Amino acid sequence: MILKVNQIGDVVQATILPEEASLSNADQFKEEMITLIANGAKLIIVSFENVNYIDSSFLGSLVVALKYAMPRKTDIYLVSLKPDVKNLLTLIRMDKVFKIFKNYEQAMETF
Amino acid sequence: MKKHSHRKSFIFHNKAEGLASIVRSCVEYIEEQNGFLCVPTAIHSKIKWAITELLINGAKHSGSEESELILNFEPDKLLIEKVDSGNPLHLKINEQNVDLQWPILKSLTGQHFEVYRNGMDSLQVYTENIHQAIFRVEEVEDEEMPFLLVNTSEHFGLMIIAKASDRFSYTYHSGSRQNIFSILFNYPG
Repeated sequence: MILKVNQIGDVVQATILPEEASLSNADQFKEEMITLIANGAKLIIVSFENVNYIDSSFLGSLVVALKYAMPRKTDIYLVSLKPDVKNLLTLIRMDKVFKIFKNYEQAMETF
Repeated sequence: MKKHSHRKSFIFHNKAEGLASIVRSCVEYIEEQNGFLCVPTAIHSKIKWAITELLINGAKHSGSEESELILNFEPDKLLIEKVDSGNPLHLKINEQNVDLQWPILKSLTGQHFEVYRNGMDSLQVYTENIHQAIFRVEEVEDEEMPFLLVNTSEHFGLMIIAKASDRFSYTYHSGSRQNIFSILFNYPG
C-alpha cells in the first residue's frame, strides 16, 4: 500500500507512506486513489508529510486521479508539502489546479 | 576558493528500479564535493529534478540497455549530458498533426512546434537543424488552468527540465547513432 487511509464520513485522509513519490510507485498510487474515489469519497486529502521527493510520473498520476475525481464530484486537496515538493508543483503550475493546505486540520475546516 | 573544471560520469541501466540510486549518487557527489565544485546550493533541487526527469525519459523511451550520464562542472556552469544509443527522439505534435522523428526532414527545420501547454506555459521545441532540437518554455496568457487537465502529463518531464534549467537541447548523431540530451545550468563565476 502506498496510502495510509483514515476515513471520516465522506472524507478520506490519505497519507503517502514512501519518502520518494516516483516512477516506481506512481501507478500504485493512481490505482489506490481511483479506488478511493470509486468507493464514494467526497473529499480526499492527500498528505505529503513523508514525501521528500517527487517526480513527473507521480505528478502525472495525481492529475489522472483528479481527472477521474472531477466528474464524480470528488475533491482532492493536498497538504503538508515540503518546500522542494511544493516548488516542483508550482514550477509546472499544478498549484493552480489543486487546493493546497498546510495540514489536515486546515483542509478539513474548509470542507 | 579556486574553482576547477571537472567531469564525472555515471552509468544508468535505463530501468526504473535503478533510477533513484543514480539520482542519489549524483546529488551526494555534488553535495560532498561542493567545496571545490562550487555549485550554488540554490539550484541543487533544480539539478536533481533535471537529472531525475532525464533518467525517467531514458527508462521509458530509450530502448537501449544503458545510458551514460555525464556531469561537466565548469567554474560558471554545469552541463549535464545523457548519452545513449537507443531510439531517437520522437515527438508527436498533435496540434499540427506532425510527427517529429530525429533526424528530422529538412523541410521541418528552423521551426517552433508546441509540444505541450498547461494553460500558463507552452513547451516548445525549436528544430535548429535536422539533428538538433532546443526546448524552451513560453508563457501564455488568458487561458484557463484546467487546460492542464485536458492536455495531461505525457510531457511534464520535458517541461520540468526546460523550466528548471537555462538551456535544454537534444542532438542526434547519425554517424554514431547516439542521442545526447544536454541540460545547462549557468551560475555566476
